[in-house]
Amino acid sequence: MKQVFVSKIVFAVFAAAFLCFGCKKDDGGADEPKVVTSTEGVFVCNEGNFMSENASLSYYDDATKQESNDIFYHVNNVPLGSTCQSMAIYGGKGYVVVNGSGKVYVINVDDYKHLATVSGLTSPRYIGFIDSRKAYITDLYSPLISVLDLTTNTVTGTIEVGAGTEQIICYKDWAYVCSWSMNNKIYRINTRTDKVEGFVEVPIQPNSMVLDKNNKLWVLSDGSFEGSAYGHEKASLTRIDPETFRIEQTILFPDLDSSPSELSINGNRDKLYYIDGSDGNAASNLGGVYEMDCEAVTLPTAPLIPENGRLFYGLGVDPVNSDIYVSDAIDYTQPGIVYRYDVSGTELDDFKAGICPGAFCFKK
Amino acid sequence: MDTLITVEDLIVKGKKSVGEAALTTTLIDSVQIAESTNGSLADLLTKHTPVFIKTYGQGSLATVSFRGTAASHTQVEWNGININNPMLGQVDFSLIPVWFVDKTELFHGGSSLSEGSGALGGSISIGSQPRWGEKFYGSVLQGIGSFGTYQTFVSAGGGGKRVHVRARYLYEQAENDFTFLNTAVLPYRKMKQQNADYRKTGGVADLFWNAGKSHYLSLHAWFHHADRNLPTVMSYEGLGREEKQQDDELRLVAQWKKFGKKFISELVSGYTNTGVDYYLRNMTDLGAVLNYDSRSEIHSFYNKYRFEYSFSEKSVLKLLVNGDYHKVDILDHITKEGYSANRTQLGISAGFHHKFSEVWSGYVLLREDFIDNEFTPLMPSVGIEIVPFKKQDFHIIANGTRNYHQPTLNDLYWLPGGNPNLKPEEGYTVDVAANYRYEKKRLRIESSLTGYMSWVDDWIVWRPSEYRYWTAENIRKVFARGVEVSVMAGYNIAGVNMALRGNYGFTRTTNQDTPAEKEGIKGKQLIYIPINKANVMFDADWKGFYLNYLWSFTGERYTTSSNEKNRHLLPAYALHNMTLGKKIHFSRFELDAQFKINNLFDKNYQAILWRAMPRRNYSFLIKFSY
Repeated sequence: MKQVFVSKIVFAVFAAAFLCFGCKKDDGGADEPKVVTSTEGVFVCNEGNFMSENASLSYYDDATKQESNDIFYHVNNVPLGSTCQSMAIYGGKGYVVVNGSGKVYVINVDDYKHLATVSGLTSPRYIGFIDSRKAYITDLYSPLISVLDLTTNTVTGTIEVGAGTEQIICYKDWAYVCSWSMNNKIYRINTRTDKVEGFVEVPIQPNSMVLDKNNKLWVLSDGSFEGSAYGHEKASLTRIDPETFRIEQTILFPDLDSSPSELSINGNRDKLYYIDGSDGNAASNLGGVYEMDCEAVTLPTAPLIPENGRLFYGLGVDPVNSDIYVSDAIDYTQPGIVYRYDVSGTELDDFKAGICPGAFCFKK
Repeated sequence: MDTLITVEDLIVKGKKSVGEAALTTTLIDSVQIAESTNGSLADLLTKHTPVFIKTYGQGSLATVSFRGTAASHTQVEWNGININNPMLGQVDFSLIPVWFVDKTELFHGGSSLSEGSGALGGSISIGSQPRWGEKFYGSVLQGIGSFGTYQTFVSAGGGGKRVHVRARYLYEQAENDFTFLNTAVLPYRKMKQQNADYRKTGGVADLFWNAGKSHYLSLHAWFHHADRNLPTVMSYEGLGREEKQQDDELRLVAQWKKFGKKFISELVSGYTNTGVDYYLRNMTDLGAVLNYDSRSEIHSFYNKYRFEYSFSEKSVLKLLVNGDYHKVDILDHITKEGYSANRTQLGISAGFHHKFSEVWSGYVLLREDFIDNEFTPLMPSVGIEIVPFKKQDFHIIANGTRNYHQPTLNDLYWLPGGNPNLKPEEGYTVDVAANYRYEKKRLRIESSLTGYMSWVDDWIVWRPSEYRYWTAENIRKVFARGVEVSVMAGYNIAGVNMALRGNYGFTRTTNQDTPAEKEGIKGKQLIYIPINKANVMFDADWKGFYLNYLWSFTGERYTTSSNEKNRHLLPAYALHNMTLGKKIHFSRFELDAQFKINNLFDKNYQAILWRAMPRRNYSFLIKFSY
């Protein structure tokens, strides 16, 4: 008798366990978060994970120290897309390059409202503005650069480069683009004719460029990685005279393991910044943000901002007060953190951004 | 004649041999298999077990999470050989048609160690079985469904007293061009799913030979070719992108078995050849550019010898020796990157199973692996089973196991980021289960409740490194615990057979390591693993008519390691599927026609963040059997 009873209880427990789940009600529409707006501030491009539709745009008002995440989604009710690579501002409009989604969103930089979509791109990376009517969009997979008509936001032509292109810098009647992935070239495009005029070869995999106060073009090459079929060499900084389009100086990184990135410049255009990871030996603490004077002929030996156990990912320098913004993507599958430092490398504060904060765009 | 519930199905936990005592296993029954007859093992597991399958949609990659573990922590055996891809460590369950499988058994958690190491979550054993005594049988199944889905399945078999052969073949294609409202673009628009079509063809042939004097030999062959386009993300508005994968597989197995008076001796040898090709093509204004063209080829050889000796009806000794060899080559013809590697795996295990009394039985098992010239630490497993009541078919099982999972070859050698210094992942699992079976006249009840706790140390994850690429590291410590509930009740009245089956899985699987604490993710659920998962199926048949109603529920899933709630949380969804059919018999032929409605309530849901899934859809199957 007792046995039957126990068995029945056990069965009842099973049945109860089976039935009492999933009864949780929907929270309903969570209240819309307040979206911070201001006349001056910084946009953060959160790349998100590859082909995962979790890229986002954050905005930070450095005067009031308020941030808003996922602003594009909150204002326009649509996710930003996959892999937000970069953003640039021209004429009060923000051009957000969404690499994996093959498009560029044009937004109002004050209220983040969607204005237009530049679709039909291949794998867009960066945008460079030529004049009030024309911009170039570089592309990782296409051997072409797209010519964008800024008045209609449509692609009106292409420039045949012959290789995928990355960052772009405009100077006088030229645009300089680096070809990073398994390449070693800086191409010069005549912006009047939309034609490639030529190229120079730099150490392999140039990933970022800046133009300093002397109007010299600095190129950072990462040297690829160990075991790469394309080759592996020491990373380097190359200085190019954009007028003559000749290499003036090449500075090699001493350690083959160095894989620097994110070459940036301050508002006065006299200090270069880049991220270089540590050599894998945490004790040496050589990873961090490095600062180098644009007149220097050797690399700095110690970082201005040591990583101290963080893993720096994106870098931006405020063009007005030279505050340094560095992101830590943490484990790359959660919202990252942006740390702010002043010009001397003293930490100011930090704020939470989106997944993989990779690029900054200052509205100043 | 087939009835919906066969007696064999019900004798699952009832009359176990001593050698099976104290293990946590589940045998999927024939009704469940029949419900998914034209589906894949991914469908079968989703609909009929507590095991979670992560899928990108019909026909595309489907990986498993058994008890909150990673896809590589589930080992799959086909006719005695392991079919996990040694490069990825996982199995794509969408490439295993239920049509090719006669028997599916799950070994939960540590109970898998009796079959081999590495299954920290559990293992799944599938295989072919002969239908001795049937001279000839065969069937042709033709299916037609929404979104340009066509399926042709053929099977035939038969033989005499000594020899039995079976052959199965299938061809399947789908355009998969379902319509959905794209809310990932501006303005929102109705779109047809692009580039999601697939074609699959394959076959399995089995030869069983009763050689006399209790010698049994069998040969098994499997081939398939799958050609799949992979749809891109919903937000895509580019010029055109084509992503494609081709899978080719050949599996050959030879088995010899001898049943002695007191022993069973079994030898299994196998060979598999796997090819996976992946392409990514992007359109440009100058035409298409091929960005990736990766091809891999794997040759694997398997040998396994099993010896079981029964000292008496109460004591069994089980010995298992296995030696496997894998050789892999992968090269991307565009980036020129790839690697070649091989792996030798040797393993030996010895288990002793003993029945102490009518109430108590148990086992001890020891396993040791020698992989690529290194010994793994000893893997022990102990279990005990209690049948406390004489008159009740009620069993309590408890077992505990230490297990190791080797890094996959990609973890070790992928360029860039593969880490040759990885250690194996170390798992500890404890299970406590209660199984109850009741049968009286017209009513049959079978239920089981299992609670488990698992710790996996040195869990391998790919993480960003200082060098901007990701590397594999033994960094995580994961604590997975949960409950699995399975209930089946069958009732027969006035010629109507009906049954209700249900499964529920509660899975908490969290990071517990020190780095996780620093990263703010300690105690957080691993991404894409639902805490709650359930399914209930009701089926009834009457005079050849049958009805099958299935409800399957997938709970909320986090897509960020920090378990963000906002828009990164995938909401729970429940899908309803209904099948109506009729079987008609004339002489020895049977005609079975069925109509299926999937996603009956037209639920709009996402299984993966911002990946479109089909709404309500239909299929019609007609099967002609002899």
